Amino acid sequence: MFFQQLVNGLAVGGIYALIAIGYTMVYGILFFVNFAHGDIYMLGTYCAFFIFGFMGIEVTGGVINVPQFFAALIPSMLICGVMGIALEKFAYRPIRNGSRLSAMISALGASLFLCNTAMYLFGSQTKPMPKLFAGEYITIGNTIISYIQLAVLVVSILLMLALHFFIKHTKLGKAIRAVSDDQRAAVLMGIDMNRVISATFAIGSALAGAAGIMVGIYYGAVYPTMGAVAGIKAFTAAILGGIGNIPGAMLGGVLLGIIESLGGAYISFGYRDAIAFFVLIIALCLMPTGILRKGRT
Amino acid sequence: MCKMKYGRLILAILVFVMAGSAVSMEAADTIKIGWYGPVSGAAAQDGQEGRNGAEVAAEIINASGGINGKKLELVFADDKSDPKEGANIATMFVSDKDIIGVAGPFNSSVILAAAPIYNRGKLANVGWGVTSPVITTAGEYIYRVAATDALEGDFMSKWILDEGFKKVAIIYENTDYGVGVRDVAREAIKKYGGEVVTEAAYVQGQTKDFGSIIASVKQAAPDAVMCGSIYNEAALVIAQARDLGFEAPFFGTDGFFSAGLLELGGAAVEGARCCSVFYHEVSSPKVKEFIAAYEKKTGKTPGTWAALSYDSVMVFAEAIKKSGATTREEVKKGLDDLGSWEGATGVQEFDENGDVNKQLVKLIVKDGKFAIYQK
Repeated sequence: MFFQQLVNGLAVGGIYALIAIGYTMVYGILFFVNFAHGDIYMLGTYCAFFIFGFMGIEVTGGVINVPQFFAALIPSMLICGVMGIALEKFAYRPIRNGSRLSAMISALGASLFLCNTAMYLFGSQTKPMPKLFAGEYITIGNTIISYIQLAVLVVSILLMLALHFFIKHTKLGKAIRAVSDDQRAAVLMGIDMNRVISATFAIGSALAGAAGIMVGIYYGAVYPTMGAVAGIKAFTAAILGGIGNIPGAMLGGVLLGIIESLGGAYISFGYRDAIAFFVLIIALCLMPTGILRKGRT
Repeated sequence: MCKMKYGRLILAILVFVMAGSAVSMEAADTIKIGWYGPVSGAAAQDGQEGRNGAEVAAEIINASGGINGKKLELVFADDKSDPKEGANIATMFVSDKDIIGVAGPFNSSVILAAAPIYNRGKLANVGWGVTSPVITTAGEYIYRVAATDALEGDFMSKWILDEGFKKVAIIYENTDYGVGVRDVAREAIKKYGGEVVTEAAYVQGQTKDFGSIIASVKQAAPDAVMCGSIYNEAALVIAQARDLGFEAPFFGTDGFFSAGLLELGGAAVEGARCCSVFYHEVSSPKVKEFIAAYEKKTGKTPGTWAALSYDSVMVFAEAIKKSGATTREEVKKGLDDLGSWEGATGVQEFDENGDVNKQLVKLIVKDGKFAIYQK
């Protein structure tokens, strides 16, 4: 049972980690929490829902294969990336030099706008999503690992590795790190701030979109308010890992997923969310800046 | 220029006042009943279905000459399954003096938040989806046409034991409805000679990952699972259980009985069993009248919630017709003295607590549809 819960926690944690990255990257550069991030994640799921529709896949009880999964994943990530850039352009850029409070209020407004627009356009009911691998699983001892859990884990890890490579080894990645370290010095060195911010939003949003699609397929459901809870959890994960720190967000996400699963199983499922937040409070009391502090790398 | 503006303003106020008096004059010829339910949010499918049922009731009543010669007018409100909204709506309905009765809502938690306000405002509220046993004692102005979970939980527990399943797990949503089902099933399963091997709760409308719950339920190796869930979560619980190789049969109350369960669950919900007060192949003329009107309006077959919401409006029409009530307190008295009457969910009668007694039907998902269960 312990290993079973660990596997479940890892799969959920991988998804939290992907969403948390977007929160942490934006915070690292602009020092505010992008509350609309969870809604971008929701829109990512809807993108995939409609792409599957275009491909003629039955959503109720439909099954997709790996190429079809990627055929939906990649365009959805691109669309989410573009939406992230647009979000920043319309909701945050005009007030970038205002107080941080204005940015936060604008973020809340953008979140409500996106969520309600989705309700209006797509309807507020929960809609089904097709399945990947039709419920197949492998058994190791007593532990069952479904293919979809494996797929979620593998795709999350691949995306995080790609992000790590991008941040460490490309020019734009270096620019993002520089701005995050010291904005004024970075601008004095000739780094185009707008470009860096757009890139940050695009990457964070694309990863959230990817998380959205995987969640949609994993749970078999998509609905307009799905961003709210996932957003809070991922934000918690980002704080747990040390907000502003990308590896911290990954670690925080995975940890939060595991804590939730194990806490639920060994204490009480009714208190699953409470346990996760309790751990967050304890962690912050002991390590006020999160597990990994924002490093000057 | 400035004078012109004031002139227009005064004119506008005059028109407004006149329009207002015209409306209140008209109000004397209509009977206003409030209706509330979750038209958006986690239970939106059920809420929308309920709203359609209520609209059909108003159309049938008005097409046959209204209530005592007056037209029935429904005032709709959306509670989003949120108890806070329920309390706001109750305040709104109570403060509208023309409203003499209220039908709704769907969620037990919502009516429990609203009940004190209706009791204070002496406005009768007939719940259509609310099934928690706690509502029995929610106050003298609170009625319902839905069967209580006490009735359904007991009925389902007996069915589970009759099928020979001795070890039962309970999965329930952490709401008044879910906890109500759990409490009843816990007692009833013991009473009929079974054993509850494990229990697990989740947060309705938030929890979508049931992997860890399934893993721990599976560990307890139950013969069957009893759910205190509505279709949205029920479909996910069952589908995720099958994904993790957990094959025990699932039983639920009328929360399962919705097209949403079939749509969201697909092949996984095949064999899921539940009960209901309404089934669309029952041959009573009252049921047929409702189904024909509902199908004409929406093009869909009605489910339990449409039928119950229809009855929650119809019961006001019956009570007002019979008693000639015109005030809130007369309407309440009319409901108390109504006695036995027949609606879309069968012959029924309020007891002294405002609960209702009616027959339950055993249903099973077969070939992607709900069908009457046959052993």
